Amino acid sequence: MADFIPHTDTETREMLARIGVGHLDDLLSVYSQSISAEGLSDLDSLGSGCDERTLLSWFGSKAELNRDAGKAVVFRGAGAYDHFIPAAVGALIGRGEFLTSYTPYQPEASQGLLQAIFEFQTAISRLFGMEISNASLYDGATALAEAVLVAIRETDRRVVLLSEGLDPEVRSVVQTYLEGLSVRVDIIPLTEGFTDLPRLFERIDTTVACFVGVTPTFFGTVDRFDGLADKLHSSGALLIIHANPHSLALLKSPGEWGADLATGEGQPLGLPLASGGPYLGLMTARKKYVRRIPGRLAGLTKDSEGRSCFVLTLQAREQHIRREKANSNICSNETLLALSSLCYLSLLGPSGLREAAAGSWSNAHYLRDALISLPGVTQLFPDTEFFHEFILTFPVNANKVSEHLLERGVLGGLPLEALMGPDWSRRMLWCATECRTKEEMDEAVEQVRDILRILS
Amino acid sequence: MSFHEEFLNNDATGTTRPQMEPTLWQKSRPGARGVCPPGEDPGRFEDRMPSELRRTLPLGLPELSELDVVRHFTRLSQLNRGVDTHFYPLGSCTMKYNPKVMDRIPEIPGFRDLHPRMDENGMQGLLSVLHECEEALKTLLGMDAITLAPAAGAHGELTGILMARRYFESRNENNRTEILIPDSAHGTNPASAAMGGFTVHVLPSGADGGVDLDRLEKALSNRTALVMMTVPSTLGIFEKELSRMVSLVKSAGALLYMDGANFNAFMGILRPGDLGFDIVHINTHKTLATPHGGGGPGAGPVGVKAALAPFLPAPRIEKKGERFSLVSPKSSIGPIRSFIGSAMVLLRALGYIRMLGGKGARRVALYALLNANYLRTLLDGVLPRTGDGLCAHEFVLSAKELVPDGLHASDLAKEILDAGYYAPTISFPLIVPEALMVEPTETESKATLDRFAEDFRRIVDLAKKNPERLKGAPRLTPVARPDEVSAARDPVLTDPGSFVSHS
Amino acid sequence: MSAERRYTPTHEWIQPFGDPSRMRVGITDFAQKEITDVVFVELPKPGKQVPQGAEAAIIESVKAAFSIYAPMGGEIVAVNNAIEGNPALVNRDPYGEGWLFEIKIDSSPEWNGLLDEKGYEALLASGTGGGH
Repeated sequence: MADFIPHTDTETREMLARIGVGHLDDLLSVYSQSISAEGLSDLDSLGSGCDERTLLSWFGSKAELNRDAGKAVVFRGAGAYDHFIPAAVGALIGRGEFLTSYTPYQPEASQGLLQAIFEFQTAISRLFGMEISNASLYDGATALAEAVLVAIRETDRRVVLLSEGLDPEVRSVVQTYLEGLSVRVDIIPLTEGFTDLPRLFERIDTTVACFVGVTPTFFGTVDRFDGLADKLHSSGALLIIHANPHSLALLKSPGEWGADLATGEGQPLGLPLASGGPYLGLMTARKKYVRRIPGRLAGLTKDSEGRSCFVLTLQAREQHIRREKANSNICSNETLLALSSLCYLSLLGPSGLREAAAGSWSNAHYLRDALISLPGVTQLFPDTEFFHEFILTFPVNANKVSEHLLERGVLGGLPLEALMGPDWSRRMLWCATECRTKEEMDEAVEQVRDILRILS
Repeated sequence: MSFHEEFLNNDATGTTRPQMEPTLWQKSRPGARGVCPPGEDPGRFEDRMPSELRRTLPLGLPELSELDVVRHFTRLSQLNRGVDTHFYPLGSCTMKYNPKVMDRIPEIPGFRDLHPRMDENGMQGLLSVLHECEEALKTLLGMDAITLAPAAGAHGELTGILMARRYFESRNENNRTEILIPDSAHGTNPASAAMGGFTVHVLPSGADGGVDLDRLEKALSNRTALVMMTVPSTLGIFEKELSRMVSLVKSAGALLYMDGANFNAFMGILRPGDLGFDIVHINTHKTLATPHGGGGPGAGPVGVKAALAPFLPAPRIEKKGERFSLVSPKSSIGPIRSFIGSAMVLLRALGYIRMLGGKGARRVALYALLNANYLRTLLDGVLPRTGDGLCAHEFVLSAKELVPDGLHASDLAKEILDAGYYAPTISFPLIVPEALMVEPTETESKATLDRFAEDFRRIVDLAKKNPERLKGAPRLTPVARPDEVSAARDPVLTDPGSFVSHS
Repeated sequence: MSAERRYTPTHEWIQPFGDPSRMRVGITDFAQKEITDVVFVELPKPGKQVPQGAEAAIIESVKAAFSIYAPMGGEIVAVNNAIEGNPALVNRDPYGEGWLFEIKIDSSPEWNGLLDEKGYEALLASGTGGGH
């Protein structure tokens, strides 16, 4: 058994004597009558402890049951992407001074982290084309939910319009967050994979708090929002754009579309797939909303000797000061992962990020061309631009295709029936990032060809 | 002078403080390349993607070599204090040593490189481990069901509150719109209640820092949905009449919520379920072996009694025979975040529990009590403490007596930084004036506590003899006290140099 | 009505401004000292109706947020935009340039329930004011 308690028996005895009690268990008198004399009965079910080697080999044996990227080549995205991660990212965020520090409430002893958060805010603001960013939220879905809450508070209105292009699970998260707040949520449908702007314009009136646009959409298509910001602003509503940050290396940014708030899932920026988490919620905004947005903010200032330095600022918005009137309950965030993405962005630089994004776009188009050449395979929204994901309709059940592919060492596109309903039973959402090689793609296409032959 | 020129001039003040590091944008050199990713020149993309969909705004990212970046972040790390470098007696944050072996678990490829939307067949290992994590937490918390989904403690609170809302809706008790919260609670409690659409009713603490039972009784009504309690309280005090409180709340038809942020004080000793709580969240990044990472990530699993289980967030992990699957029951409040949960954090929690075993878990809490009480004893008489007798895992001192000399708890904190520690929590809980909240945790040795107590005593003496000296602290950190007023009046939240882009 | 100023136990002041039903509101010198450096003021939107005693504005310092209550009920008809860009005015000149907002009042009898200068001074001397 290991318990990481450093005391020798002698020290423990000395400490107990100093406190004035005879035995460790005497300290339990703080819990008075709430403790049963015999102690907790089923603690034994937690085992008797183990050493490091035993522990890691147990986890290793469980991990063997998973079909990770090393066992099945990833052609699946749908919110979590297999991008290249430089080795230096892990080495840098693993430094104990970062890893084992707390939220930088004592700025003099936390300048390193404060500066890193400030730099993260800078990099993410620039990437989104926005003026400010916070220090992170839990994940993309909760970041979007918080942005919608900002719009509701800012406008004091109770109608929220969400694009159909949003990942259905992200949409559900937004709806869960709004559960207690008497807000009406309407879904604005896509036509051919992009927002039908004239129809949306008709729907905008003075009851609407915000419209949430998405690009690239869950279906992989690149959406467009010409004139939308002006239209929303003229009726006092806000434009929120939820974007894949990796795509923003090449695609028009939320700032360029005139967004008031923009959010995203930061996982594509240097975070592993990690079985789904922890990930990184990104939130950016126009500066006029700086006192409305949730989460921590690091700011530049001077110290009392005139030196430039950094400090957490605008804390009076936050729960530890404003309590039930705070603009969010968030306290712990994802700082270490924000640091990962900052390391990632600075290691790749502008050219590297553009090349990685272009590689994803290019591979996805190569893969699309190869897959639609197979008999009976067609693309949904074939005339709409896409980034690195696209939907194919197969002549057979997509769950079956996925199952067979997995057995052959390929994690194929995501079968969409479970998320979208029975009409989508033959459809899959495919993805290729810059990490896929031509050989991997050709091999996957041959496997699909063979599986289609067997299944039809 | 521009911001960049000024920043580079930082050392003109001629002190012996460690040097600050220029920002990434100050170090940026046009044309410099770092790591080359797989990919291709964007030329083909630009030819084929319509121009109105392409980015024209410069990216504004810095241009650096790999070594530039490595030096930069290594330097920044050296300007930062963590548990690995300093004693961190930050109350209510449980800044203990987290075993390094846990850092290896998220590096196992079978977990690290697993896609969250993997077919169920391909994630049986993950689901079985998470299921075991739920079972272990059920045992430690005495609850009937667990959700691992919440990303942090506050997220767990919101989850619990939304479940309580559904629970009362299912019983047609829509009149229950109020949540009662003691004034000593973490700020997240009232903030979560408000996000869940409830009205907050604050319960003033009694003279001993505990809940005033008469006031609780008066505040309870058929409008009360939930009473949220922190156990032990943020003062490190365990409610003496907890069982009476529980029965008051139950007889009013309300649910009882435990903020289990202080789980380190009672792991393996008390179980919220046995005490009568209906809902509890814990913070795995406090007690269960995830270092705080400068603010996160963490995880905030929530345990509930059977009556609330139908409302747990989707997806749920279901075990049938030896097979695990993910299900989304109709009665669920829905998902509260993407995918299953912060798996890499939860795996560490399970790893820690497995390594400790049941008895080890109990020893952790016992030694947390030992260290807190030992340090409390060493500091007896230095500054007045809220509460008397034994404390739980932390204690709160008040520096109120220094106020006439123009000093505050924060001045003591700054001098403590110079003595080579991180500082205790200050200004919390709000109900204690000039609070200093000290939580040593079980992983600190007697020698560290002895040295800290000696330094603390010396600093309080110094404050009384020479208050001016403390007003100039800290003197040994990379910077002196920041001007927080101008930072908040005119916030500068991004590097002005980042607009000069070379890409 | 005279240009006399009245006070609340929560340290707001109120004073007729121009026409007798139009009242200007701010915080007292005692309050600005307690709050310390004001870093931001969240002002109400003009046109908003506020009953007497309701929260009408929020003043932020670095470490705290303070509710400012309407000394009399009515409609917000103007706010002091100058303090948005320069919140230090509230510290420097709380009774003058640092005013917060103006109310078109509903009911003049509410005036009589407020503290006059002597009454407010007595309250400060007794140290029993309701803190912000």
